[in-house]
Amino acid sequence: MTNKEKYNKVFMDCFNVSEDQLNEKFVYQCIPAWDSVGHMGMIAGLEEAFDIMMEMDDIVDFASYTVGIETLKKYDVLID
Amino acid sequence: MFLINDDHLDKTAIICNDGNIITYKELKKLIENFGNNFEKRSLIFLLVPNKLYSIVSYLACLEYNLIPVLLNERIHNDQLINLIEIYKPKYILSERKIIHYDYLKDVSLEESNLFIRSKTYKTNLHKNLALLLTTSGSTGSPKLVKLTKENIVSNAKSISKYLKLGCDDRAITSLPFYYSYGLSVINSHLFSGGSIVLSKSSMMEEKFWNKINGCFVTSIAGVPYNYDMLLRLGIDNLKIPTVKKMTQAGGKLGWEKVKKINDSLKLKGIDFYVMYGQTEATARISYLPCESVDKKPKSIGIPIPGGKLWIENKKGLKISETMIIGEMVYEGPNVSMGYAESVESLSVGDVNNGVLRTGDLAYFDEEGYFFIEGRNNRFIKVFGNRISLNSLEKLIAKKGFDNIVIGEDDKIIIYIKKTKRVSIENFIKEISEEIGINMVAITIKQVDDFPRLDSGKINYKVLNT
Repeated sequence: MTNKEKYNKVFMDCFNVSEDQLNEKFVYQCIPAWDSVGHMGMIAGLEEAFDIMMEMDDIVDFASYTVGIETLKKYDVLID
Repeated sequence: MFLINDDHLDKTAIICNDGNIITYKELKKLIENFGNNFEKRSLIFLLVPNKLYSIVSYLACLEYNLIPVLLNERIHNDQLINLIEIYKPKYILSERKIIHYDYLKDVSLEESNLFIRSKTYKTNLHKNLALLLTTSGSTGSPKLVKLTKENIVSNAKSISKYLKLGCDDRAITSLPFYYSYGLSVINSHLFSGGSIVLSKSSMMEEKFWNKINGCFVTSIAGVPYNYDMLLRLGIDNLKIPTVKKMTQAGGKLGWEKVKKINDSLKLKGIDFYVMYGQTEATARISYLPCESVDKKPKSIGIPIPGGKLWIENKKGLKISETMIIGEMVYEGPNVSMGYAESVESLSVGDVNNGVLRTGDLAYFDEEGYFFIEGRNNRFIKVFGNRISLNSLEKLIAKKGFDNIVIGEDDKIIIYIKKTKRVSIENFIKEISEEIGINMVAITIKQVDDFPRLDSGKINYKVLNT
């Protein structure tokens, strides 16, 4: 699986959405499933998928699908 | 004025979302303006978020003798309509449109709309009834807790005493307003002349932490899942120098976590209070004094000032020995009048006489500290929301599914009979949205048949979470 596929799979599994919903409009609280509880689950999913530990500032900054791609660069995870 | 002491008039009461500062004097004025719009002794649904006008409307109701029912502003429409049909409130204050043939929009108040019932309905309200809170609001359960002004004031006073609250204390609204714990934070701080910082964001957002530091917040309240978040975010790295007190209630936080959080907060000079309570007792019943957290992290502590706790055996006799498990019973001025399940029951007076059977199984040690061992009733807490498993069963049954619901904190398991009619994923999504609980908490299991006792009743004991 490519990083992009892994990244998308975490979102699709955590929020029960399809791949075509994942774009710059997919932001925190855009659907009921992405509340603070869902956020925690999504972060845990990403950490597991990429074997990383995210910092507090990055977790609370992670406001959208696209912001997340930038954030993960800090952890040497490149999503093309 | 209700909860407001004239000695505090020049002090800050509320810091709004936009940073605007409201003094007690200004708050009083806002309450007076609001209260004059209504017919006294009527029922009003408040579907309001953590905003200034919400606090104003709540306080105005209590000052001007309207009876508010506090509801989650995001309650599912079916659940809301159900409650409207049952209680027939004279007024509904909501940012949402209320679509119901008996209600007409009257005026806009701030960001909210006031709806008035067009059909006259004479509601008999008991003279001591002041406030109604839900027991399992998101499932549409009509069961409400009936509270008096004395309940609210006495609980605020007790909390203020053991948390040593004063004018310098400043809380942030980290919990919803309709929730008894969230409301108790507001009541106790206003009672003490402290202040409230209004925030719409959650602990998972940067804005929340910026607000804590920017507005000099001194205390944060959280339910277990909020503390799970803090642990996840890295509590040791948290930089919140103005915070002096943190409280936890609304479900059981494991003792290992209690210890870990306490150790971390102690290094920051923050006092950590583990507390226990029920909406049936307005909010608070017991607290663990922060100096005892180290020694007894499994304990729910000692009764709040003015309250008494004891343990009873199955025959209803008081157990005087330590370490023996029985039902925990509480007595205090904050014990509600009882429940309402229909509009008629709003005219009924106090049936509890200050005594509440908590439904929790517990024991106490030689120093008088209480420890909860289990539950006698079918209520769970999911991410801070109280859910009646029985009400949830009813809600699912209405959809045409034979079902059984069991659960523990933060976990709901729904058993349904095998069917091809439904996709499990969509079913979880539907239930999740209807009760406003994130779907990660919900599991659905399909079974051929339900386990039953010889009597034909469901055998819940063989179903495990």
